[in-house]
Amino acid sequence: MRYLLLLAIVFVSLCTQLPIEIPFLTPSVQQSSFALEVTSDPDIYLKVETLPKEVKEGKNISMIFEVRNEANSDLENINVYAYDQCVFSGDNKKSISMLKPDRTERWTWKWKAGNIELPTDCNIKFRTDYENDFSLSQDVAVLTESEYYIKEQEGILEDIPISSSSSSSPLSISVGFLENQPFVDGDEVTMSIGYSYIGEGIMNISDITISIPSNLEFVSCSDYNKVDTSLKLTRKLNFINNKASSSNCKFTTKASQPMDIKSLSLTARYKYVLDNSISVRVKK
Amino acid sequence: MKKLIFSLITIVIISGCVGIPDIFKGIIPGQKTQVTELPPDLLVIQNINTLPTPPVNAGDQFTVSFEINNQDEIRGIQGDVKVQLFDYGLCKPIATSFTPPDGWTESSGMYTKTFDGFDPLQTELIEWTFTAPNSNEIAYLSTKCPIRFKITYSSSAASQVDVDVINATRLKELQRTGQTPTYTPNQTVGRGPLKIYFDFGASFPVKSGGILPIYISIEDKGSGLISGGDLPAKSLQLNAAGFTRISDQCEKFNSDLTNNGTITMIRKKSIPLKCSFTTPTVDIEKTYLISATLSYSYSITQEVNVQVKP
Repeated sequence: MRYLLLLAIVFVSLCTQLPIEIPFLTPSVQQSSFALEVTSDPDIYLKVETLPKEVKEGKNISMIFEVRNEANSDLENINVYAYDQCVFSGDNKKSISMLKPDRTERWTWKWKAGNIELPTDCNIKFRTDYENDFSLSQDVAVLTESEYYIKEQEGILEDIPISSSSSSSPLSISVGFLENQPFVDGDEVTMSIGYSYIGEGIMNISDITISIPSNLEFVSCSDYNKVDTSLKLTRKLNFINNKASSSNCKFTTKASQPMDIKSLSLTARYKYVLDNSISVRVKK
Repeated sequence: MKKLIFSLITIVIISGCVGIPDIFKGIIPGQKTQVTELPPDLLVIQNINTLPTPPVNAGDQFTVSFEINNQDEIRGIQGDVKVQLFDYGLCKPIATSFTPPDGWTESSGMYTKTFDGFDPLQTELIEWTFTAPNSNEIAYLSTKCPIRFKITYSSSAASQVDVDVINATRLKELQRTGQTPTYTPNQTVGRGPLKIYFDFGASFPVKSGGILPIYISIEDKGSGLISGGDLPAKSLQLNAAGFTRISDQCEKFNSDLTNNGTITMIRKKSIPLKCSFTTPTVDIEKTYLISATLSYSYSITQEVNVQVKP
């Protein structure tokens, strides 16, 4: 008999839709503001706060912005543009000509909510863009033929210090040679330049300059023009899935001393565009 | 043992497979929009009571009472709310004992009281006193007095949907970064028996400067009836600020985006009304709110059968 009762209760329970949300019994967390932090970009820290997080139609809301330079170099031409204000109106563009490393810029926009028929969640979209420089250096070691064989016979070819370094940024440009270093005087070598970036933003490169070290003699380069002792990018780099097609440059090596180690340097000017959004509840 | 089994079966039948409707938020699968629908109840008749509990003795007095409640917490009912007692069989109303005591008019046996609007959550008690027919009038046979009444009110329905418009450059940017631009419009269907739904003949996000066909359909989800059965011309108002109406693809609407003819309701549903728009030119991407309001008059009828015994 008891089992029958238990069985009936189980059946009854199974037929009930779960979960049942009873709004007035569900404790609601009342927040006075809502903040969005963008930390994925190594160059910039961005925080947007809406105060309050809910607003009635016709009332004002404060959009508090904070931008900090996280890079080691100056960020230039920073623009923040709220391009989708949903039902709000008010100032939506801010330009900062230059921001030093570790410096923060804060400002507040006062927006007014327009009229609505029914409560809505507004997804405010904004774009942040800035310009910065990327730099890298890559050692190029060219040995005279005799020096190469001496070091090869001594088994110390790999001990030749060949270093490379690059700045920290969302942009990544890699320079590498198809042939192994060190090179022998008179070799024809091919340098491959790869382009990629991290994050979900949009990367635009306006200028890349490569200074050719004196131990390399320019032969040809598909995407670069030679100007004095430099190479200048001539094509627009189109990034698809965060990558652009690489460039190849040919050089002949030239050693002015038995072990000629020089540095190739590359500087790039880039503009990075980040899109983000923050939600604000507009009540009737 | 038999009693217990019977009780268990009763429990299972009564409390078992009862679906609790998600009246606060619902996603209608297969639709192109995410729908949040508020309840259909607006003005309701509740707590109907007869005193003394029928059957009542022939010639005795009895009262029928009920409450009219505006269930909307935010919006009041602006227009008149009419309560009409239109049928009571052989029972005789005692108008001097009605509650509320003032404002009742009688015409051809129909008693009417008009309230000047209803505030949010306002409740009004209506109480009618009747005299049951005497034994002679019912020929010493048990009979029923059908107490029939209705409330009629005018209100407006509202729905709103957000539409994301994107320009070609932004679309290309997203595609190049390997992101698939997707967008599901959020549709909020307001409180009340009449519901307005949006559907779209284009994929989202819509391209700036493109064509967006909008289909608007109306459904009666209330327990009453639309006064007059159909919805008259100019009762539906579409608001699509920023969008440009394509006149030859919007034949059911006037230039001010009101409906230009009667909206026929068949089985409590209208056929979708189409209106196409050219989407606005946007810088990057922008969300627009498209809304529709519908003015209507609605009536809810109730009946209480009071048993009279000789």
